[in-house]
Amino acid sequence: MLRNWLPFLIYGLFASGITGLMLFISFALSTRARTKPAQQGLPFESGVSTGAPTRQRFTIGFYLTAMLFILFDIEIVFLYPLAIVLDKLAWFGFSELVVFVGLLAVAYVYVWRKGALEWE
Amino acid sequence: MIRTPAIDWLTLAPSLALLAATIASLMAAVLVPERRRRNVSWFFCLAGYAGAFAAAAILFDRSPHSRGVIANALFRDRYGALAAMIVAGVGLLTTLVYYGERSTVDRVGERFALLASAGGGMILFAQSANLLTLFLGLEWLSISLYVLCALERERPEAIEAGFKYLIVGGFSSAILVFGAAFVYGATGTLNLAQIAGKAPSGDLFLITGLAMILVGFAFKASAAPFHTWTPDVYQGAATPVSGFMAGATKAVALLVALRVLSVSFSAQEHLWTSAAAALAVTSLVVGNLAALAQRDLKRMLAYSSISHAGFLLFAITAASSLGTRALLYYLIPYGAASVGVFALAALHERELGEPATLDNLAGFGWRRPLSGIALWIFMLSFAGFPLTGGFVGKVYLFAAAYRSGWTWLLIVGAVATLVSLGYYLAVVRAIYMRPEPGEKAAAKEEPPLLDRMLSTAVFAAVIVTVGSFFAVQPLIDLAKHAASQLPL
Amino acid sequence: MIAAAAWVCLLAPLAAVLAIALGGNRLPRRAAGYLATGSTVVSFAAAVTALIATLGNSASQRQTVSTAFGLIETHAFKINLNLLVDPLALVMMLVVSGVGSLIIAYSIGYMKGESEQRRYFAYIAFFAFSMLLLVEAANFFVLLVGWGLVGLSSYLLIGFWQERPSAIAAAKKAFIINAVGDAAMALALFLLIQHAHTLDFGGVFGQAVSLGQNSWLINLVAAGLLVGAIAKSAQIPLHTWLPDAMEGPTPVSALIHAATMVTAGVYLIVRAHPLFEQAPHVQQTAAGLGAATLLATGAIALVQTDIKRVIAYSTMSQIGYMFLAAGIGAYSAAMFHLVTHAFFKALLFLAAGVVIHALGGEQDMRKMGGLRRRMPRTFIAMLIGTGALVGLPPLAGFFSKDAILATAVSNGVYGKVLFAAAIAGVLLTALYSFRLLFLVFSGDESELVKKSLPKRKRAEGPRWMTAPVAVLTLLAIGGGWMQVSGLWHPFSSFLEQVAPSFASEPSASREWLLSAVSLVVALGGVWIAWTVYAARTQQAPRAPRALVEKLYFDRTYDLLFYRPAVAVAHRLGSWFERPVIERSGEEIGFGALMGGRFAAAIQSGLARTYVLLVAAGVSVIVLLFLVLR
Repeated sequence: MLRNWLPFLIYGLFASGITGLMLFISFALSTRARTKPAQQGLPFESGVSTGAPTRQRFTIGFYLTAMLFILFDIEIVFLYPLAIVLDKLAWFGFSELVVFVGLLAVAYVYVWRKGALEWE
Repeated sequence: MIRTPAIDWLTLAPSLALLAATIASLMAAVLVPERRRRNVSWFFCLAGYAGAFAAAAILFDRSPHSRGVIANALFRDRYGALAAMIVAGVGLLTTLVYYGERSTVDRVGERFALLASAGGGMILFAQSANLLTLFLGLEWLSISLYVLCALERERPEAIEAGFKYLIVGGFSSAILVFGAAFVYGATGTLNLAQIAGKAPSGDLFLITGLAMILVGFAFKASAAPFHTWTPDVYQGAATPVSGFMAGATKAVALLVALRVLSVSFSAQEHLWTSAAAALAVTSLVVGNLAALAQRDLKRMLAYSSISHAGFLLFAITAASSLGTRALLYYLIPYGAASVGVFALAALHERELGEPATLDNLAGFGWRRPLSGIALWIFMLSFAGFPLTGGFVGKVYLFAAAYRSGWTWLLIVGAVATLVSLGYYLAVVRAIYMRPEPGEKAAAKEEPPLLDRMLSTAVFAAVIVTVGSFFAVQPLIDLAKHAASQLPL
Repeated sequence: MIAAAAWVCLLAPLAAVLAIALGGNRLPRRAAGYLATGSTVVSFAAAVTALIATLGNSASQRQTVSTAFGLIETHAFKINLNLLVDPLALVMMLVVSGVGSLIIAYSIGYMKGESEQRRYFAYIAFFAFSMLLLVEAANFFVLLVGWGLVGLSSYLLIGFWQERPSAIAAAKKAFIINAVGDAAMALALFLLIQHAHTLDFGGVFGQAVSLGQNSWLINLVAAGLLVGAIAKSAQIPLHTWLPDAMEGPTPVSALIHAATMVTAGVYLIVRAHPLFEQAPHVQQTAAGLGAATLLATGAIALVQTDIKRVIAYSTMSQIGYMFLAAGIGAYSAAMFHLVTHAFFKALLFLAAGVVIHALGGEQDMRKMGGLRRRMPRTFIAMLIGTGALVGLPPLAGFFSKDAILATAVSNGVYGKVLFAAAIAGVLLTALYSFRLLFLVFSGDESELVKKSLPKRKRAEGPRWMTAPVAVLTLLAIGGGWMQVSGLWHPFSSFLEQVAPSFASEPSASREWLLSAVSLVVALGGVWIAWTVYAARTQQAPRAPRALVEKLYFDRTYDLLFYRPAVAVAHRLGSWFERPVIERSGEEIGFGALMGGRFAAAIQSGLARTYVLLVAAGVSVIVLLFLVLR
């Protein structure tokens, strides 16, 4: 009876471990002002901030392009396993490949025509 | 050589038609000049749904025996074909209603691509014969719907709806796939037909997996307590889309649930029938009571659809051939009435430029006599009055529950029906028996908005709603043929 | 071919109803009338087509059943939406669509200037559809649907002038009394479902014998059908609604309350004759009720002063003859009288309508008089209609009524009793009908006539009204010749396959002898009417109080049913409904609203709450399953 529950226990440990780790890392690596008085002690010079902003800003275009890149990149990764067994799959595999790439092409045409690849 | 599966094109045809429609309208959205964009992509979507309907009808005709095709990824049977016909029918009406929907952003082409895509996913979902294709279909339809909800990104409510739907929907999809993993762990197979008998009926993993899969379905069917997204999403999404979700998503979710439960988990029948009964009661209580307190029409309809999930779950609770028949039959008038009522809500919104509420509906029935009658008919069908298909459907569902010994459920259902009259008839009262506010008198001067597509859809929905009452037997025969292919 | 014609015949009026209803204000008022008339003409053409096609088949193969689709199917029995075209149905289809189209065409003239013509024509076309559904039904279920729908359209048309309280009251009365009949019929059908497991005519009649001659079951079934029949056909004791129904427009009275709907009871007995023949007592009761009705209503007609009410009582009296014939098994005689009656009674009503129309809606005969010179053509039409009603040769009623008399006298002691009643009825008929004719048309012109008909004004109404009257006049003259005793009988041999009469056939010589007797009686009645109402050599006797009070039927029903029901309702209202039901409704509603507020309160709008709820739900179900497994 109890043996049945063992996988659940292991799973539970893993789940809480990973969640806990994530929480801890985000806490540990976050950039926050250590102490409040330090901030209060900064000199005030006509509204001009003394240092560069701590967070780097990217344009929204970067995120869009980056995301599209990841999307298409991952889709391309699917071609590797297919390439390995293409011999054994013969024409069936090839036609699957064509369909897959065709669908990607449709998506590409859409993204392109929509202007998502323009860098403004 | 790897043995490659034989492709049964007819089984794939309904979803392929919609996939082709998706691609065509998506391309139209960027390649066709802006002036004709709406018409062209609308046409592709309409053609896709019409083709899917025709293909599903042919599939129904040519599949007298259920069998797995394409390496047992899909079922070729009448059950799936009838589900596909329901989805395609609802989609067809929705496409008509969606045509005239105003847009704040330049996305008129994409909306039809996504609508067709969602339908394709639903059909694949309904035909799936193993847990993998099932999940594939589920994600296909879900992702299309998430985007469809958030398409009007200038409207904060739409963004909110899409976002919430994505978060909560993603969570429940995860639960479902997690459950599938448990089932695979217990039985070593993903094939629905082979799951039964592979593990002892009380197996811990199998049962846990079953519970999680059940929750995934309950979420899509918006059965309480997994309904919480429904009011916000129905209210925020474009009105025709809400109708589509109420009519089609709920339908496939329940049909696939019934299929999976009966095919793969027949040994655990006592478990899932009890769970379905519990979900049904919760949905009836929550849906009906909350609907009473609503003033916003779409929100009220969302709760009404939750309470309908409760009624429809009677079929799963019954776990009998009669129940399956009842479910298949009821989804036909229910789907039509859902699209129809949201179409009328859309009409009212477009005319007023603000969300339809019970207060601003005052005088609607007098200003637009035919639409008023249609709205009235849909409400009566939801409430289950005779002369509408809703009556027959409810009678069948109740009879199925009764035959399987769920007498107490029947009592809950009867009380719920009684309570539901409170809000369904409130709409009828609002459109006829409330004085029109003075400011609306000015709006009355303008000729009422005429949208032929929308009128056609509403008219067709009325025909189906009322016609299914008079032509009960042919529809029941359809349902009977389809239901006989489930092992119940 | 036959099946298609039957469907066209049935659906054409329905199409007109939909067109008028959907057309709404976009449709000119006149167009509504044309649509309704045209659709019934189409029906008539389809019925003629079906008749010709049917006549082409050999006598034993003149039944066509056409099934549209199944309506209800359970493991125990099955009901289809199917139509039956056989000689009996054909006769009714021809009468309904033929006389119907004439009367609806007449309405175009009669209703001119009425602001709600569209509603009128939609209703009357709906009636035509319902009546055709009734007569074309191939099973008792569809028949009951048609039965109910004709009741509904009759209700709507009686109450057409909805601003008149008396019209509304009359409509309600008709509906309620008919509902009694409908309920009795429905109960009979339930018995049939329970024991015969079918409602198809063929199936039921095939089992009629096996249900047992004179068993309680067949007696109950036949009695239920009979109650439905007498309610619809206004026979004693369920006859009180018909005189009041005259509140409707006159063409409605002609079509529904004379020519077609009220004869549905006769049709039902003839149609269901295999059942009635297994329940002879019930069938004899039908004949007895018919005899009683023809006497009582004939007598009441003598003292009525409203022109339409006289004709209404006359209708009941004539239907009494048909019931009498159907009750003794002379089905083709009953149907024959039904057909000729449709002609001359429609004629009488339409001619009376012309008079009423010309006199600005006045219906009191005492205020009329001397119209012979002012409306000569209407007078001739009325004269012919009255002659046909009384049974003067060579007009239609002569042939059909005498067939009934002759069959009655040839059928034993009971038949002789019925014959005595019938021959007395002939005298009454002659008296009241010629009283009407003389009061309205002979003598000097009354004040009202002088006032409402100034000199040199065309008095007889537009063509739309006179043309149908003319056609019906011709039919009232020639309609009887389709069957002459001893010479030819195509009508009864046509019906023979469906409803073979079991009454012993009188010999031709006996029939002619009886014709002579009844003719003498009728002429005697005419002579009395002449001396009293035209020549005025005799003073009219004072009307007996019992007749003026319509034999106290209305008062009795009032005392027996209405007052107790109202009293009980009042008591229940103050003792039970207000304290228990109303208050509990408030409480429940309040509770539900509170619950609703609570249920809506879960809806925080926060996605994290939603996810939490889903997670909680999963946990509960998983735990539940683990406990239950």
